[in-house]
Amino acid sequence: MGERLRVAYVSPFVPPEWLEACGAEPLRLRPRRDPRDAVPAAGACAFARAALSAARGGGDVFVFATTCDQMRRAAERAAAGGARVFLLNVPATWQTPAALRLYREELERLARALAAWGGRVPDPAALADAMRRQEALREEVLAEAARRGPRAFDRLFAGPGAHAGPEPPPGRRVPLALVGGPLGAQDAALVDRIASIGGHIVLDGTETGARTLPPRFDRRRIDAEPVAVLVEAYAGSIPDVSRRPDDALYAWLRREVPLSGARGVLLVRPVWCDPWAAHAERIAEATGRPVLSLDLDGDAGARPGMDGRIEAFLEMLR
Amino acid sequence: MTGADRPLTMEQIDALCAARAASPRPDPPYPYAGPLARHVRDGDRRLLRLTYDGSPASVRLWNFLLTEDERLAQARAAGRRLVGAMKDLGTVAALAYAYPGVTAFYTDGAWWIPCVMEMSEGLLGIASAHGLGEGLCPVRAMLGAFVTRRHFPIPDLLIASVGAVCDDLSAVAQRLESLGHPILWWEMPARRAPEPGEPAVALPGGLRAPAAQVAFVRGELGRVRRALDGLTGHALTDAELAAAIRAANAVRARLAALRELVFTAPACPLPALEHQIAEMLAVHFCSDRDETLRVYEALLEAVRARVAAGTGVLPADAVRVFWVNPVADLRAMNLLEACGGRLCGTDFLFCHALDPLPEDAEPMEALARAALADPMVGPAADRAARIASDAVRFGAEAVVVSRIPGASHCAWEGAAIAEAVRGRLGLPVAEIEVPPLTDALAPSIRARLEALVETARARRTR
Repeated sequence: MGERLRVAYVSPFVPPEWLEACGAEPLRLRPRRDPRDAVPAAGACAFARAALSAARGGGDVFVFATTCDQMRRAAERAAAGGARVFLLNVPATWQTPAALRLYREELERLARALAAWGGRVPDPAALADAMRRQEALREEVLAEAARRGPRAFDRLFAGPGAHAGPEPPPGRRVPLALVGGPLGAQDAALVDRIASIGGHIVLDGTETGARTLPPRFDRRRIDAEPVAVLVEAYAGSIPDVSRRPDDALYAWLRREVPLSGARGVLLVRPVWCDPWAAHAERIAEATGRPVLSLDLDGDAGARPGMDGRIEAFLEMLR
Repeated sequence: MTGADRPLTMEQIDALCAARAASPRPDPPYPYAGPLARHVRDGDRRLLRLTYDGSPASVRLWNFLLTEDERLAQARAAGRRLVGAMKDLGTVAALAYAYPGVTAFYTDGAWWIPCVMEMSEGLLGIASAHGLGEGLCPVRAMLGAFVTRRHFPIPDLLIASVGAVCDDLSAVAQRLESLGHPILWWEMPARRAPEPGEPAVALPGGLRAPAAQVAFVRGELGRVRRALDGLTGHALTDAELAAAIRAANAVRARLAALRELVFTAPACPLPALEHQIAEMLAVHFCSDRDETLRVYEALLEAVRARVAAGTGVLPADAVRVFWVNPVADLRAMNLLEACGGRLCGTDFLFCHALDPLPEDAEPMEALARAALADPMVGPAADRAARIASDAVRFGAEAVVVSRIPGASHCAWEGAAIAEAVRGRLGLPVAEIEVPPLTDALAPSIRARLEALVETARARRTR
């Protein structure tokens, strides 16, 4: 048996179970923007630009999702540049059977494309096995995250860990929730910066953290109808900012932020990311916690100005 | 260019209006005739800084545009149901106008208010106060208009397309809903090319899409139709919808004739500013479909007369420019002409609202095909291909890609379109950014447009 097809992606709506069942090796990436890449003019989202860089270099195939306009455009640009790209239509609506059907048909289209590129069309038993494996991994990671913070999520991503070292003990540091868009490779170091300044992330609600992990699969139906169970978990349940309406996101925040014991919320979004543009006030209202907004542009690990803002925020929370 | 056809200031327009009122063949009756100064008194201060076409047809166009708020208030007072659509630009309005007693309009049209009122209305400030800052495009003004309730009545039903739309509108609409304005969200998938062997359907504008995507959109529009049935208490029949499609096509056919004349006449018969406004009417008929038809008829008559007489509103050697994207500041259209250009092809992001709706398909199928032909829901390459094809058809000598500040799609699309046009046609392309008020940037925009026009002129002699 030859090497498996390596399928890279950044979106939480791309199920690694499905890729595995298609005979592929799933590689979820925290993309790193290559400064040598020709990128679109100002106004392009920092994370979408990083995903474009990654698509040019990571994996045999890159799967983009349509959850935002800029990723859709990045997919077009990557394909135009010669990368092997698949654009997965992820519905923004989730409350109709038609939306779930659309997502399912898109997964089937993805499977056909992967089969043509060297993968295979998944069979139900292989899919159910992959679902159990991936779910077990996620549960381990979630349990580990409860003990040692967001560094635990590194295990869900391909490549070396994004963090400098082990999480220091909480001590007297201020418990915080980190909420918002995805953290790219360069921005994941933000967690280390926060720790060094005196904060302690007790909840990772970013797109690359706990919030966008699918819920537990319906074990009673997993063998009989694994595709339906998978679709319900991903398209029907992930509380993402791209969903319309975004009720599920706020239900998650109202539940998880108080449970975590966070005293404040750091709202992070890539520069020029529109979907996260108007949430600070709503999150403060929903969680009853103060919110500090931070724009990330791929160098959050080393921005003195940002440190000062976080320090002031922590001081206010102490 | 004759004296009467030169660009006029608002004061000159109003003097003309006064003279015409006393003539044996007066302008059309109020509210679509008469001086523009009354709109300035209502706060539309940008009018003082624009130049205009002096024809009665153009004055009628302006008055029609600037009285939409009055029409909407009258519609509400008369007990008509108001439907506020967002984003799809053309399709939901065509459906809504099939219902008796319904007036539909695109609330995202509020994005021009900061320009027209020269920021005096404070809508962008209100949007910023609700978290919608300058990183978003001027469509955020829509939220301010809902908050102040001064620019249009709050609709009885709000409908927004989501999915493959611009993130700016999606974020603004979601914020709007969080303020207590419920929205019916309907899904628009990203249009893709049919795969080999996959059943496909021809769309307006020469596009093709998988039949499955068309069927999906048809189902989503079915949800919208049921909501409208519920709002009005009227179960719309296919025959009524087919009649509405024919009525929409009657409007679109007149606009198509106008575009053809304006873009191909040897001497430009209608200024760019009035032309852009004329195109905008097609999206939701400026809340009065019948008057839109009359406005187009008047414009066509004026333009045909100029073409027949061989007169134009610009110097005969004006450079023929294809314009991509709507401008947040209407004055940019004046600037193009002041720099020696003329409009010769447009893609204001709503080509699908100008193309005829298919009349040989079932009505809901026709709407679904039209919605999927929206340039924003498909790849930039599709859009660029149509722009290149139209640029050739209309004989464009240069292309302007006008960026909308903060718009999520512009950063990526602009470059793709510019590359495609340069690569396929070898035409000079300028990318400019047009904010709601260009006054501070006018010198740099002007410099870029002049350079483009000069480059295009130099190519004539090669």
